[in-house]
Amino acid sequence: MTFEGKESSRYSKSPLSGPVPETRGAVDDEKSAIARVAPLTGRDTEVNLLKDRWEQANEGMGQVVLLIGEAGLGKSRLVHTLKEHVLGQMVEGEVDSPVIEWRCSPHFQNTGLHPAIDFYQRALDFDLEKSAEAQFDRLFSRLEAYDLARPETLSLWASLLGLPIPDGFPPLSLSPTRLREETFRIMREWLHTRAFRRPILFIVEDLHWVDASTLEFLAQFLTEGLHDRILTVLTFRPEFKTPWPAVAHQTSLALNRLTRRQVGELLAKSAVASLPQKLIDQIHERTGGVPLFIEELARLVREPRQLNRGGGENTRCELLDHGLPGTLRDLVVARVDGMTSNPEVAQLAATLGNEFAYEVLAAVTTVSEATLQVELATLVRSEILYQKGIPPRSTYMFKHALLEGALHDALAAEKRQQFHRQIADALESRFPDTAQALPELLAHHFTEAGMVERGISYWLKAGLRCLERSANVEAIGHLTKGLALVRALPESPERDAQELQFLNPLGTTYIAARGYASREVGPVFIRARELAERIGQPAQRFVVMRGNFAWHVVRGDFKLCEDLATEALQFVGTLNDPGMMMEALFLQGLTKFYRGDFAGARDHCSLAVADFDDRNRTKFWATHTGEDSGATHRCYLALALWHLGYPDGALQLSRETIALARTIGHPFTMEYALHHASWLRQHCQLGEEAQAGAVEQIEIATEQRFDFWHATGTLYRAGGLLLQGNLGEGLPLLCSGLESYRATGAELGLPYYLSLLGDGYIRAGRFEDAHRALAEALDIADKNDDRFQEAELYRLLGELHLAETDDQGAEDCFRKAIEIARRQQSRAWELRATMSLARLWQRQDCGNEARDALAAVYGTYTEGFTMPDLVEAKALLETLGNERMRDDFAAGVEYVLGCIPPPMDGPVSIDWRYVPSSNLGGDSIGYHWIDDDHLALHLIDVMGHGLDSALLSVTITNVLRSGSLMGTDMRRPDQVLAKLNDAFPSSRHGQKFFTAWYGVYNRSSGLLTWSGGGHHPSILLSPGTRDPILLPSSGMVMGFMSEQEYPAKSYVVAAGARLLIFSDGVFEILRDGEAVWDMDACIEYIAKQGLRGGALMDELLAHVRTLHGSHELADDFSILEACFRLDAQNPNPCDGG
Amino acid sequence: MDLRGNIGLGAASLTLRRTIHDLIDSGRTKIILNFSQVELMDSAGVGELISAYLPMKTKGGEIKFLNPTKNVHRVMQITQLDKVFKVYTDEQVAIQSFS
Repeated sequence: MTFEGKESSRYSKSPLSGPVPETRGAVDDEKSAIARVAPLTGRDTEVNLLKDRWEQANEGMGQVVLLIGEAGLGKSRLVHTLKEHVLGQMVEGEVDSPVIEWRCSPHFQNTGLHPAIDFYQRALDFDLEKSAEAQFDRLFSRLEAYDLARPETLSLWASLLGLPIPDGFPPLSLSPTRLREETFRIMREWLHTRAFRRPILFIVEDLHWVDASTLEFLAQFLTEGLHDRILTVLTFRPEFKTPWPAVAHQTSLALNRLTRRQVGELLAKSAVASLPQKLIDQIHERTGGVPLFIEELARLVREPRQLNRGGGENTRCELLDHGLPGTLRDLVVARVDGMTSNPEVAQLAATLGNEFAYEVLAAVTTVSEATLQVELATLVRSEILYQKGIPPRSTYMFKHALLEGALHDALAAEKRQQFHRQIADALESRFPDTAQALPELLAHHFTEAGMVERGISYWLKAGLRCLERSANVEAIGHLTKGLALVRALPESPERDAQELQFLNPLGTTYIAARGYASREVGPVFIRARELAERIGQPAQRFVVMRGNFAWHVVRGDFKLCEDLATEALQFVGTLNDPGMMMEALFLQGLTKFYRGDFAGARDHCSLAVADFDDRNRTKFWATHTGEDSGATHRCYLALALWHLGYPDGALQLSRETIALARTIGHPFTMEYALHHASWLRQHCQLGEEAQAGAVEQIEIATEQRFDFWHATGTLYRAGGLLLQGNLGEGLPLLCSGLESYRATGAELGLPYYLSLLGDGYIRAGRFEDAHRALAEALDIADKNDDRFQEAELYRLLGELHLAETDDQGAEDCFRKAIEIARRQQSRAWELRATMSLARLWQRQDCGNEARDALAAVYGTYTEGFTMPDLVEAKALLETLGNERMRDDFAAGVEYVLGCIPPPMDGPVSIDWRYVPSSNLGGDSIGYHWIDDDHLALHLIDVMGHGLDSALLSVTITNVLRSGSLMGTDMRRPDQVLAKLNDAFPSSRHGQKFFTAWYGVYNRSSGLLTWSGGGHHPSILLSPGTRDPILLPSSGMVMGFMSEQEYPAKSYVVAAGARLLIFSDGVFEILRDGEAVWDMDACIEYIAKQGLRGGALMDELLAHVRTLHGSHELADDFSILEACFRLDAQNPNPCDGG
Repeated sequence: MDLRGNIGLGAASLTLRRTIHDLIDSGRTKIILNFSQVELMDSAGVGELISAYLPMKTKGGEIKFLNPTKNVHRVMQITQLDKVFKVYTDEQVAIQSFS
């Protein structure tokens, strides 16, 4: 691309300028321009420094020089000297000029990137090409020469230069902010590419008139670091301050006024003959050493006829006698008056501005074309104007802005207004492209012409045009000027309507340029609201209402937002406009959500989605609001559903919303959907998903330069990391995100983000920090009535108290959280707070209360059971339930134990061991005197484990003990078991079967009679007998089949004999799944140990535990030992020996 | 159905119950349980066998035991299940007994 600056001389051409002849090459232009400038005096040091910096840039050490000086001190002249030096180094055949020159203009201070656009348009000779297609072709070929003709780059260049993008090239779907950033990028790329091919002198003149966009570009460009082979020279007046910090390779060069000696030297170079010292002194005194003034005076001295006073030495003496003109203005006016026959041409030229095209001047002036050309030639000859090209395709520029200003200021007010009016009318009627491209120019001329109404109209156009390009500062400038004109009009409904037209875009622009919370925004929308109420255009009024609402929402002022939302809904209710109703319902839904009325939010959002959702309507309103309400309603509906206890439904809706946002294809809406989706996933404790959504959100925010969404994306990414336990990375990122978020000026949702921070601090053990974060969050929630996170904040505060071992403080906070959650109908927060409280109660041995409380909330859920909160709640319920079961189990063991009679002494002494298994088996032991002679002994073993088995077993034992088997002789084991078998069929007792051993001892006869149902033998150890006597039975397992027989057997027990009745838990011993003991081994052990005497049951228990390898047993260990004592009838001792 | 391992309280008896009931539910009315590789059966196992007895009987079917090990046989004797379930030592004989 060869924007080689063939007009990079003083002949900068504004869009007002006419075409430039193609025949003139870059180098010729530069040389001819240099040949015309006045001699340089007293600037040797400055020139040498500039040349030195150029050499450094040539060697790859990029340089920046700030050339600072008052008007007329010769900044431009110095720059020309440097340009002459640079151009002089061009070699034969070199085409591309090494000089790139941007010029700022006082007339385009609010036209974004004007110096750059002006330069590129001139360099591309766009005015010569009448069709946009041809201009695009030229752009393409220039870019191609520099390998910069990529499709997306071409689209950006076309946009910058105001060209339509042809078919086949990618359309630009970037936000205004992003478009601006990309435009800056291609401009930087172009500069770097140029510098890569050869050293470049990059000049920006008159920076004190720079527009905000160009200044922003320069700030970025200069602060990005050293630029290889580029010498950047910026000229400006002392009152201007560069906004970027000084860098090492930057040099400031301040120009001073000329000394008396230097004035003499300049006059000597400029004047035809030598001047008397007295005149030199007078000139020095009068001009203050300003070179421009001196040059003008020198010209006057050289050509005194310009003052209509003749010429020669006499005139110079007259000058001494009568005095020099007192000001530059007087001097210039005098010169022009003296040299022209019709001053109108010079005056009109000065009214047009610093630069103008012949054809524009011709269109404006009343003089004939011949006169016009003569007068212009005179001005050029007198070096008031510089000319480029040949009329009618010529352009002109004042030698210095001071000259232009002097001529313009000298005009009488009436005349000046008349000229401005002529210019404005001509531009509007004959130069529609200019009117379209530069409405601010017409606005300026109409304003100066006193044609206020038309000026207002063009200021509004200019402001809106800048808004489209995200040139916010410039937009504010135009809109503010227009607004000032409007406010100066007499009060009337029309005036109010006009003011309202300015206020809406001005408020939006203030938000974009200075942040949501900027102090300028509020008054604008408040005023707009007053006006909207007066003038009553429904759509306009609603837009104001919404803007007003939006401003208060982002500031977190929800108390007021509630009123505004209600007012908006009432207003829209009187109209039949579904699109407005959709928006009004959103204001309601949004406000209710943030105030913690989740049911209200759900109702409004779901009504909007069900009855008013329409893609075309939401798309239309998105142009006013910035976001598509089809997506925004669904975002808040999903969040409301989560709070109300429908997490599955919420997630499903959130997924649909993301899909919808992708279909809409609107980056801001996509960010809106992603933001709220991450928020929901954060609530759902889906850390990975929250993080993934946040990453996409950040990517889009980075690409589109959405600072707000970038900040919240960072917050969710951090939140996702914290949920995954990554405190080290998550906490610093969260702090960084919060800082960015606050920097946008928003308070919206701060309590929520601070709750994430507080939670993170608690987990990290940083309790003081956690207190600070949660206290701030609660303060903001209270101040703004921003209640949606309030319950969770109190729960977290409770957790914090708990971590600090303040149980009472914790309980108070949990109870408050639950109370708030119930009031807000938020089952989600209620569940979480109740879990916290339940854990506390569990720790305080109040498990039953904890379980009841949690079960009550958990039981209200109808879906979402795979969500982490509900999974956690269920697990906690089970733990609490198990604890209750353990309590119940202990009570069961106590009960069973309580049912076993205590050991007894007497004719028969009885002792027993009952060790329940870890699951409580179905064993029970019993014995009682049926009458004075008969002692019943029994052991029941109900199959299966658990309370049901134990209770059945105890029940059977109690039946035996109470003798309540009707029609049964309890002294007859066969009858007893047969009756028992029929009384406890498994079909009526939970499919429980049981075994029983029932014996009756007659103390008078010593006869032991027994019967068994499915039970293994009991053992009798009889004195004098080594082998144990087995007492088997032949009855069927009990409860299985009715009407079974349980034949009894009898044996006369010797005095001192020991009877052992035991359950299968005594011998069915498994270890690691293998049988390590059985009944035979058990009998052998008992026989052996029984012969030794001693505590047989304890030894047996110890042995079984050893075999089992654990103190805890797999089955009940139940054993009863009856020792038949020596008595009168049977005097044998009972010692086992 | 070949059984293997110990049939005691817990997973084993549960598996035995489900398997038998699945067979019954699928219309199998002639089941032989091969106990040759069952070392131990406790009261829980006994309970499962008893539980299966009535549903099978209701459907006109029968469960028979094959080759119980010593321990299992002892349990059957004690609980008198050997009087309810027919016990075989030869698989072919057991099969043919259904015809």
